[in-house]
Amino acid sequence: MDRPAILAQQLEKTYNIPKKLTGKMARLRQLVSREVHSIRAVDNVSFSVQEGEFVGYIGPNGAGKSTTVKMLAGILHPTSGKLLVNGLCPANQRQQLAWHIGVVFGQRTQLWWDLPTRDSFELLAAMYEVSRQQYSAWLERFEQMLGLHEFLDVPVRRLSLGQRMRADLAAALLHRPALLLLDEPTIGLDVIAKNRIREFLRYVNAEERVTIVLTSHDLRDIEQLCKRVMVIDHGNLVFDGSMSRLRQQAALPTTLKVRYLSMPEHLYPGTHMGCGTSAQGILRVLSIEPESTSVSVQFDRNQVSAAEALARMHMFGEIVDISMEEPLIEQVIRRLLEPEGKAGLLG
Amino acid sequence: MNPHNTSLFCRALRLYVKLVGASVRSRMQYPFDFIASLLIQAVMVLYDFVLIAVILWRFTSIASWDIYEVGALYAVSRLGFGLYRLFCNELDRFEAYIVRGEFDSMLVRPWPSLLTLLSRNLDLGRMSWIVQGIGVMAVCLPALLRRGSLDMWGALMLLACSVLSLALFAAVGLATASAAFWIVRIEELQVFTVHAPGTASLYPLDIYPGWLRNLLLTVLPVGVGNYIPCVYLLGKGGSWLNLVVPPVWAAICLLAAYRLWRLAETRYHSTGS
Amino acid sequence: MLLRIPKRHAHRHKRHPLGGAPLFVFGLQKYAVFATKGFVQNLQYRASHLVNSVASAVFGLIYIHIWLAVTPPEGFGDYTARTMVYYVAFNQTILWLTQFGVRVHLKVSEAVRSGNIGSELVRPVDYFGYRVSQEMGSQTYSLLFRGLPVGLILSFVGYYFPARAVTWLWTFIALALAGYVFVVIQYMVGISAFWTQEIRTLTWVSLTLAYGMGGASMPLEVLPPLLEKVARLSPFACLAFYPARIYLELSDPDVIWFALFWAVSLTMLARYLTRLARRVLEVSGG
Repeated sequence: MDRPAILAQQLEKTYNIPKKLTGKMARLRQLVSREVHSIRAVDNVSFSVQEGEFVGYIGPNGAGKSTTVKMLAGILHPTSGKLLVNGLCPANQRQQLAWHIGVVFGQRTQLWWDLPTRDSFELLAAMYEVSRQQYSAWLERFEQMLGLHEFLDVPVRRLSLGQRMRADLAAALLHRPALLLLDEPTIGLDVIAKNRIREFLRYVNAEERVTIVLTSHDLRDIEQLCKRVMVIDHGNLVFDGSMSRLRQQAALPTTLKVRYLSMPEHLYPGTHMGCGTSAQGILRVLSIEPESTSVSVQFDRNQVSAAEALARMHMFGEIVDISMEEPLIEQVIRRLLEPEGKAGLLG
Repeated sequence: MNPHNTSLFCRALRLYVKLVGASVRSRMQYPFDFIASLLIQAVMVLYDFVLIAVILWRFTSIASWDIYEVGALYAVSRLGFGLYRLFCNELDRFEAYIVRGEFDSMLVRPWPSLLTLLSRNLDLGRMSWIVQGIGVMAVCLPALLRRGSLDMWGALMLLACSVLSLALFAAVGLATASAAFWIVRIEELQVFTVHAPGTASLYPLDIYPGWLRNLLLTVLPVGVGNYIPCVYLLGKGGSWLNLVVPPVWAAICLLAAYRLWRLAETRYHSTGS
Repeated sequence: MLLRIPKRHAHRHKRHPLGGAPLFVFGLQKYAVFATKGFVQNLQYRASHLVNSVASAVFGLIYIHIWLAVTPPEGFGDYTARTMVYYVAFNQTILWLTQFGVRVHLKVSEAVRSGNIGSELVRPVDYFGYRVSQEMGSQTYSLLFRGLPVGLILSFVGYYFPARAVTWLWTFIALALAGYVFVVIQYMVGISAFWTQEIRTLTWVSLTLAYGMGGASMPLEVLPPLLEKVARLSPFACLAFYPARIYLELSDPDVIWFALFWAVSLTMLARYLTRLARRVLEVSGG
């Protein structure tokens, strides 16, 4: 089928928030006042997603990520613009579309709180009119992969966050949807749980050919899973392309803070040093803190690996403690929006 | 996965029954808790019952309705309310859905939101009202039959009125739940639309001043389900119209409430939570 | 807080409103502080409380009409139809004092369930006094901000105004005792969490008894004779029945002694239970 899985054209979502009045009899006047100020949560967003793609959709808080996902699912209706998901219009054909999509909200579960997990699955099978064979086949496939058998008979309210997320993901795929929408699915999870989810999503996209749209705060999720990334900021789509192009344009620097046994000399903010096997591998000293015998350096993960950076820093003395900081989405956005002249990591 | 050719209504019904079964099973997960909650409900239900029981014992009649007649009226209203709390519990608790943003989950399923909502949880703990209603009915109906105030057909009609009462409570409950989309905090509103009229309808509407009676027969129509039919069935006046108008009015109210719900949903689609 | 004031510094406290008074007055002062806290905590919910009061008035209206319909034309005992209206109106006004406004049983049982009770009992303040005074502050709030609006609304239907000025005084005392007795009862419900899980059942039992036997829903004379006798002697009668009768000038204020008796006895019982609870805590280690 040549039709794209998702087609969005000039999508717009404007909220009208009543203006907060102040002054005399504010509360009374508020009741009758029609003054509103408009917030453009999504502004002129256009994109198309082909079947089988794995797209990351990132942006700072309040940028419009959740709003877009909700519009794709049919929960919210766009103020204007055209939107087709699987050839259907979510706003007008919500129920019809629901048969073909699966949605997972990171912060909320859609399972039945008091029932054992297994019961939730059976209920969803009834809801989506999944045949017995289909249900058994699905259970067999995902039981092992997600470790569901560990907690099939445990009530959902007693599951840990990681278990609940696995259950939610499995549940969303019960009816073999063509499209999976994930809104912050790894939020609050530890590293091991995150990796497990990422493995699973990779499989689902590659082997089952499910189109996936993933929103996340965690850049590592996107980096590892998505070949294509869309960045949204203040309702505007500021980037739509491959992950490598994002890396190039935004040049995500990682900050490594190292604490030494004794403060090394000859290290000053601004010092550059070569590092690693790549010709462009550079460590740049960001700051030094003699009181805590610490030094912070920045480097580009694409040119220098964390191990290489650490090894290089080790040459200056005995390391007592380390910590690493990944760039925030906000920094990436800022970097993206900077004028051309300043592109590049260490400019 | 693709919809079969069976009628949509049949499929929806089948689904509803399955989901209801799950609610029941879920409650049975904690049998002791369930029994305890039933006992507490029984005490709560007694709280309301005490007043009317003592009054009837002491004064034997209220506004020319004698003890069995008042009892029948009371039982119908209680049954209606109990059935409402049983089947429409999620409407009663709807405020929580809006406050916690759980309504989105209703919109992700391939069914009308109301079906998904109502089938989520059937609160079996609410049986106490139904039990009380049945108990009172079991005392009053035979007495009325024996006395000749009612014949078998009348008694059956009376029982059917509890369904009518359920429909009216559901209409009011649905309309109030829809209001949550605009004003969110509907618990206090529910007192005025559901609980106060419910209590008022336990007694013959004759005792209330005109404006209140009219209110209870029109805008907050909970009284229509038991009072109007009973007036005719118990030989206090009225005509066969008393048996025709209430169901029609109930149907109108339900439809109006449903329209309001759809309107509220549309608003939700454009403004979110 | 100073417990021992050296004689030569006593004059410093003359500026304090309570002066260089004996230390038990300082002790009492902290209860006033607790009560104030209980009062103030409620202020933020003023708006929703007002709505509740309107609802309460609506229910009052319903009950008034029930009684108007039911009271025989020649009256019933001390009560004419008019008197019944006044009775209902008065009781709806003070309902928050003795029914839904009180939360101490929840607070205490919650403290037991969460284990906080351990640290609370350890504090150098009398636990019973602390809880009760806090709740009474809340009750004062209820009377002013929840009861008064109900009274105002119902005064459009019919409200009694005592012929004698001193009645207000006796009513106030009766109400204070009523509030106190109910708080003590609910405190005991709360503290029974040490021995049972069924707090909700106990709460509803006590509320139902207060409602049915307290005279909040009807004058006790309406009850069957045996029940009436039991109710009259129970502490619940002090909650609504006797204050209403004092206010309506149907009874002499002598009944206040009765309320006082119950106040004292229940206090002793509650304090005894608190001591037992402390012992349970010491033994089991919280």
